[in-house]
Amino acid sequence: MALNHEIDIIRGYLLGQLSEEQSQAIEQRMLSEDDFFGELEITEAQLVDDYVGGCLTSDERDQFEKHFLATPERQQNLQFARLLRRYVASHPIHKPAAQSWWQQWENQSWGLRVAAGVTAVAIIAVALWFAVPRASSPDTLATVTLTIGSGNRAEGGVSQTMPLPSGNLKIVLRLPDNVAPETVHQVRLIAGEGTTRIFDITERDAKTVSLVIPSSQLKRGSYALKLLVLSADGTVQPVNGSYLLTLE
Amino acid sequence: MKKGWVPTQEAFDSLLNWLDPDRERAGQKYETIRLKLIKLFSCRGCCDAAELADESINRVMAKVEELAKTYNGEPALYFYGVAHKVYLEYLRESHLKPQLPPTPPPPDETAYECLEECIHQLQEENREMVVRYYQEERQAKIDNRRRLAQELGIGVNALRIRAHRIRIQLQKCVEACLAQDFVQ
Repeated sequence: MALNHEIDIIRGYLLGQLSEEQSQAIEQRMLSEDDFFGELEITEAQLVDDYVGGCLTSDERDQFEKHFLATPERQQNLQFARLLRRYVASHPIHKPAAQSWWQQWENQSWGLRVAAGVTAVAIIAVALWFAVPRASSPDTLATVTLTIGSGNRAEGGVSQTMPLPSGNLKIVLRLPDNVAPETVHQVRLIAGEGTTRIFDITERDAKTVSLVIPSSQLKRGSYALKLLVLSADGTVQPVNGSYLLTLE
Repeated sequence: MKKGWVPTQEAFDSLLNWLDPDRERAGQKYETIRLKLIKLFSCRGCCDAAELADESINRVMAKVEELAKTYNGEPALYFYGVAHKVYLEYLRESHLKPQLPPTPPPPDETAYECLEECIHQLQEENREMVVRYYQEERQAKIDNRRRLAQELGIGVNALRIRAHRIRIQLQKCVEACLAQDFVQ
């Protein structure tokens, strides 16, 4: 049963909207399945939050007050939800979501940035070595190997800089220890100005995966790449951290 | 239930043994079943849910010697059958006729101070997570949670479960804080 459907049924049960037969089916699952019981508790808390936040329809609100609030335990839950809401409203946490990874990189320490600069010079030299002799053919590959920066905001990550290749660019991504190559599904490329493109993996070995970006999709600028992995439940999830690249 | 039957240590031991031969696991199963029965009666709108759960358990306990020999199946479902009968009796005795409790008054300042104290006791990452999880409204809240889950590298459902655990921890902390305050 899909989670959202299950949540809807549990909400109906909690508000007393289900038939006796449906209610008994829910209760039997509640008694015999621990996961389902856990889901019921979470949904119950969410329902209380929705009531406190004014997010219920007038019918739901009516059922909530007449049916749901009948026990002292639930009245305590309601009190707690009001407290928590008040606290959250008076202690907002604003994450700098709009700040680009490049701005975050600029906030890194000078030492780190100087070290990155030295590395970048070396990379440029290597990249030129490979890229320049192939400049006459648009299909030739320039190759760059990147290492992931730790954390979600490329904290500590080193941005590699290379000239804009005239042909296609092959990017080899070194995988972090906790990512198995076979789980890597795709790579998300985020350009500095905010556009995003998804690329399939073209090669993989025990420690790296590779992708090829066509020359037509490359231009000068800053890029961040994120690994997208297939999780056990079949959903695609981004891996923490980014690979940083600048094309000059 | 046998008329005038009073739970004994022997009967309780037999009940635990029926739930699981391993005493520790049996104790955990007992606690889980009791918790679920309380929730069930609470969902049915019974004010004295804990009392009705204990009544259901006592009835099972009274028959456990026989059950151990004859009943095949998930013990929790047997408890459910008994609990349902207890609920129907409760209804017949008209205890349920909705005597709606008055809407609780707004939380007082002491409770709020307790919450501040309890949140302060959380690890910093949990404190930030729980505040961010409950921020915003409607679609903005959904987007916010999706973003938070991505940042943490977990699924949205895993985030729900994690946030709920912290919430329960906080609520227990606030209740303990208020009880302490009341005693003082």
